[in-house]
Amino acid sequence: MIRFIWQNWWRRKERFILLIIGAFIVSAGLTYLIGLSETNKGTIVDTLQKRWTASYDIVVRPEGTRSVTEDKKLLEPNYLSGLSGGISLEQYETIKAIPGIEVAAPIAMLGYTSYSVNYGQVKLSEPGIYRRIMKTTVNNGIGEETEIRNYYFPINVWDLRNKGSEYGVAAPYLDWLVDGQSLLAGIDPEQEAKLVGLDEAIMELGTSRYFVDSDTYYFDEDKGYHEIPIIVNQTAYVDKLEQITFEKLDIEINEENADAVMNKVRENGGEDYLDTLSGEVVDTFSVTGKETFHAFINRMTGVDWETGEVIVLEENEEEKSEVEDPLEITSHVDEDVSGIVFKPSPLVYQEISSPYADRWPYTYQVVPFQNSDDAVGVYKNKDTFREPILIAENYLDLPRMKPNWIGFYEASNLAISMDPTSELPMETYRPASAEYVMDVGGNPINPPKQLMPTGDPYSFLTDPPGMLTTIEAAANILGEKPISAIRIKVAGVADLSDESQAILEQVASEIENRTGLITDITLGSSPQLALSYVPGLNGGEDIGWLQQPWVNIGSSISIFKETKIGFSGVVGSVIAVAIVYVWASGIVNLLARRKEFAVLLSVGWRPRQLSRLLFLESSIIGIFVAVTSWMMLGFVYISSDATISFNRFLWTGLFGFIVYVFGSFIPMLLTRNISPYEAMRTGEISVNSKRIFQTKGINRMAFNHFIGKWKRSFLSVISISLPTALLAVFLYITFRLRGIMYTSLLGEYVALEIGPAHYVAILVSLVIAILTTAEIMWQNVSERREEISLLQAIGWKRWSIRRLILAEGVFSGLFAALIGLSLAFLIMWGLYGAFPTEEIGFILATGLIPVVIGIIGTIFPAERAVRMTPNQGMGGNITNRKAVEKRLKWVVISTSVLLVGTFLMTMIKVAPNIEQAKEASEFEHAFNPTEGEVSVTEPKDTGDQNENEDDADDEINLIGVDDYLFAFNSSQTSEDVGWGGQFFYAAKEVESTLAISESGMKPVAIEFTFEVRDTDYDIQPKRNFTLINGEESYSPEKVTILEVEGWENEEWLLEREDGKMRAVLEFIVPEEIENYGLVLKNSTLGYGVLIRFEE
Amino acid sequence: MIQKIICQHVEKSFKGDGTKTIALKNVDLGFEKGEFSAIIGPSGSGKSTLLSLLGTLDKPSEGSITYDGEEILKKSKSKIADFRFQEIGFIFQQFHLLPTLTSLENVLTPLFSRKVPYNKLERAKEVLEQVGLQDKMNSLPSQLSGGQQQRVAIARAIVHKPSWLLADEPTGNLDTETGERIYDLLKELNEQEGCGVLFVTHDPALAAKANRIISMKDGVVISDKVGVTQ
Repeated sequence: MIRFIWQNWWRRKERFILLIIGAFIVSAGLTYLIGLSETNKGTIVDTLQKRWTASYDIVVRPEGTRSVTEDKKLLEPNYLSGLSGGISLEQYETIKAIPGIEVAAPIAMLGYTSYSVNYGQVKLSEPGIYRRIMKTTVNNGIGEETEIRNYYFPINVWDLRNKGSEYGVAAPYLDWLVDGQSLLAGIDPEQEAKLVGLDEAIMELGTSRYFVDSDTYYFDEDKGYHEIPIIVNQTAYVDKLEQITFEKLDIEINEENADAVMNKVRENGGEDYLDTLSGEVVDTFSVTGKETFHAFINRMTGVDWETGEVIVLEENEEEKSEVEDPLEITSHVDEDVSGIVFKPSPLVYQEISSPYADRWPYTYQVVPFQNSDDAVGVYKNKDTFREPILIAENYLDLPRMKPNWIGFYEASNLAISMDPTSELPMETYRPASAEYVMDVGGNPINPPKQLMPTGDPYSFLTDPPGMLTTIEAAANILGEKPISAIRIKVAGVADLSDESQAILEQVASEIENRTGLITDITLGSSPQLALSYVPGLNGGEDIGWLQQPWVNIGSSISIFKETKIGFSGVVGSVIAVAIVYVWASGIVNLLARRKEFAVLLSVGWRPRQLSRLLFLESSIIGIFVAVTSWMMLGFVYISSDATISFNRFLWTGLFGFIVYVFGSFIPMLLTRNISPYEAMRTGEISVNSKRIFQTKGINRMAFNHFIGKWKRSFLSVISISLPTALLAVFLYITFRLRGIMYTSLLGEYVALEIGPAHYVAILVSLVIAILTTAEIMWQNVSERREEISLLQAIGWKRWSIRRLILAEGVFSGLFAALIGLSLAFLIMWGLYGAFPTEEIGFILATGLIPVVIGIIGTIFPAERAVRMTPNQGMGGNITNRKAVEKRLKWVVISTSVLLVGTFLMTMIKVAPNIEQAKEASEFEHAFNPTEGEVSVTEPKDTGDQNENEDDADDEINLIGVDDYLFAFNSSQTSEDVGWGGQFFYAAKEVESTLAISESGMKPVAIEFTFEVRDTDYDIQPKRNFTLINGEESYSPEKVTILEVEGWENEEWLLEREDGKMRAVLEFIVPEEIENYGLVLKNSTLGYGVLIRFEE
Repeated sequence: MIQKIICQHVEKSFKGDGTKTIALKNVDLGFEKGEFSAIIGPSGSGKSTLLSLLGTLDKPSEGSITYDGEEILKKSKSKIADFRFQEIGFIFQQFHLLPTLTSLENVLTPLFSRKVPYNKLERAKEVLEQVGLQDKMNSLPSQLSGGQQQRVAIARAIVHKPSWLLADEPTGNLDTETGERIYDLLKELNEQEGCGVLFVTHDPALAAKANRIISMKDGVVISDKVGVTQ
């Protein structure tokens, strides 16, 4: 049977070539659309849906919290952290009662809790004047901010009593005392658990647990403080180093001359004078902000906590110390542990015009707040980014509280998106991201630096809450309207769709009506890159331009919808066109062999055998298509590092197979109608042709024929009109959206979507449509062989015959244009509810395409018709002559090779680009084209002196940052270049153990450390590392793993297991190489990371 | 082995656009295995229709055809196909060879996916030798002359050892001399294999050589007589 099928194909060469080309195109198209584009691009839409969703659908805010940015429907990220109260518990209950609301999670920003940790006291015995230097270094991502506070005090030399501050000295302050601020917020434990899974994020550490009902607020009347239950965030976002140094001033002072010296100090300006004096370091101590916070937490959770004496003990101690030293001026110890001083406040923005409007259509300037003389101590007469607001006017009214520690939570374990590059901003649990992209002069910073919160309540970026308590506690501390925002999740809203939007709008208006609060629908909002100009504070230099993903409210749902329709539509249409093609060729194949089948039936074949024959044929082509797709995909996979999931891989091939197998069903059904009796009939083939017009000329003759065979004509019309319709729609969308497209991140994705992939798909469909038309016309011509021969015999000119056939193609095209454009208008009507009037011209112009397609599809058959000679016999063009066979074999083979080769070449070229495009939009939005950066020109001309070295230098320098995700020098670590949040990565050269086997070569050993921090990374040292020098690259000869943790399957360094690897890579390189780069490239790092080793 | 085919009141009509063409009218005929019969008549007399009905290629509109008393045509298409395979060999005026297959492959087509007690290939070669085409086994139909093609068609018709051979104007597309040879071949098969041969022709000279001559006109059997040369 197989042999029979094969002979049948092989001996009808032209048909067979058409068949093969069709199979190749179908498999290539499917490979691209299902296999490749889906992996790299197609699913972006779905990924978007998964990623760019906030954990809530609606956010409710108090009235009067609209910011200037909202004129443009924009919300600053972490806007929520800047709000303080405004919604009452009553309103909250009202909202909770609204039907359809699944979760209503309130958040009440209580304010910044001060805490301090005392690490003991310094021992100072020698008499003299001492200086206590408190140096706070905060890494804000851009650079280090250092603040130095000096404090002077005498030891055993001068009696302070009854002396004023004009002497510049005060009571001895010997504590190694460090303080910090942490945002305290109130939540509804039950709702928060439902919203973000806070209960699941509780860490198992000692008695750590989640809130239960019995964790209640209590006001201690006697001591005057609030007892509140808290859970503590284990993740510290502030990178802060506190250094305390005690210096003995170089000042001659003893008990005798003390008064005189101190008077002189006073006369010289007191503290200012003392600042000018040098000193000798006596003792120093440093601690990070994280350690301080941990120590603070430890104190609460440690033994003290067990005995229930934390606060009381602390206070007793303090009281004691106060008693010991009644002159103690610094009083922070008492309040810091348990007081709330500052309330959160929002940033004030001012609209400015963008320096690069194409890239950042929205630009704002931060307006700092100038604190007057009345402002609270630390901010007095200083500038702050936000207005400092005290929680109470009167110092004594500041709430004092005793936090009852309940448990720890790990913010990274919350059910919210933690990927700072793709999440929707405005989450409560992580700091907003901000990238420093341009300096004051407008010079791009490459790579952009990630700004980090500084821990100051009024800095540009705020810290997420460090401690959470209950809303009940918040209400008791803050009073009537404690809640600053309510995050709402609505039942029945699962994905981005019209229905969801309608439900949300309904719920939102319900909330507004009942409570008078402001609502914003976050579902369907897109992140929007906005640029902020951040001025310097307190006369300092301006910081420059920061890029942040803001929230563009409600911008995306329509774009999103269009994209979704767009891509699935395109893939669907290609598949539909492919199926139509397969059907068409199946039917044509059947028509051509109808008589043969009748004969087979008459010689005793069962009808089922015919079906089996057809099924087998289809299966063979199906398998061929599947295998071809798999091979192409496999090849692309191997050669371009594209990642393809197994499922997708499987489906790509399987799909081709299924299309072909399904394609055989219709012909199989049709074989049932074949009667063996047909074998007896001779001459006429089809008896019933419809006539609409009387045949008077070539065109009408063609038209009548076209209508007469309307069933098959319909197939070719459909296969042409589907892609035409989509093409028109895409062109329209592209034109229509051009303006809006780039104004949001989502839009950029959409732009990417309605990009090459769509057009490639349409192209594929159109080519398949050409094939379909060609198949059908071919059959028509074959069937009309006698007719055409006759026409030639009665003296028709060749051109007339050609025209007769081409005219049929034109009719197919015209009908396809008609149907396609109507379809396109219908789709546009459905999308926008209006007919495009402006672009109607060019949409109509797309109607020309099907006509052209129809003609192209007919050229081949028409030429065949023209070449028919009146005397051409029955089986005239079927041969098995050796020479022809051989020639044909070559033609087929080379055509296939050419087709597959071209396809693979394009794919290999395109696949990395797709990845790049994706990467670019994910990580490097900020990357301005960096023309200015990569200029490495001068050494080229002067390369005559020390060529070798110069070249090496040259080449290593030529490896621009652009070629990699980022690069740094061997003396640096990933932290130095702003990637410390993602992972720690550093490498250094060590002594090699390798013996040199070849002369002129030398071993190089590099020890690297890689610690994952934000997500899992795949590290396979042998595979992922290369040493590069110019164009040359070297793989490790030997890998010695020194230390490894959380290395799953020897591939993935897992974030949850604190994956970490330290290993030595040994390379053999030519001796002359001195400078080189170590490249780490894996699936998570995209372009890879370069560490430069330069002498 | 079917010994007897009996047609009773067989009628066949074709329905076209509102018109009804009667091809056969009230035909009562019986055929015995081993007979060598010719059906003769002018164009449109219903000879081919009768042949196709006898060969189970089509069904009568009225009446019945029994094969050893069995009404095969009432069975399923597959059963009818099986019957054709076992009992009937068909030879067409147009030869109807599959253009993409060689002579040998064409001869083999009836045997595809059938279980037979003999070696298919050997059998195919044997019948090709029988029709004198041992040297044309690997030729395509387009490389054969008309007579050779018809011989391949005959080989295909007898490869599955049918008990009846039905030929629709087997010599109609051939010149007289070749036609004679084909006729002789059929005669030989009738004598050697003992199959019932039934052939349609409008060549009276050829028909005259048959054992039995059935004359038809306008769908009616007008005479059924024993041939001259018996």
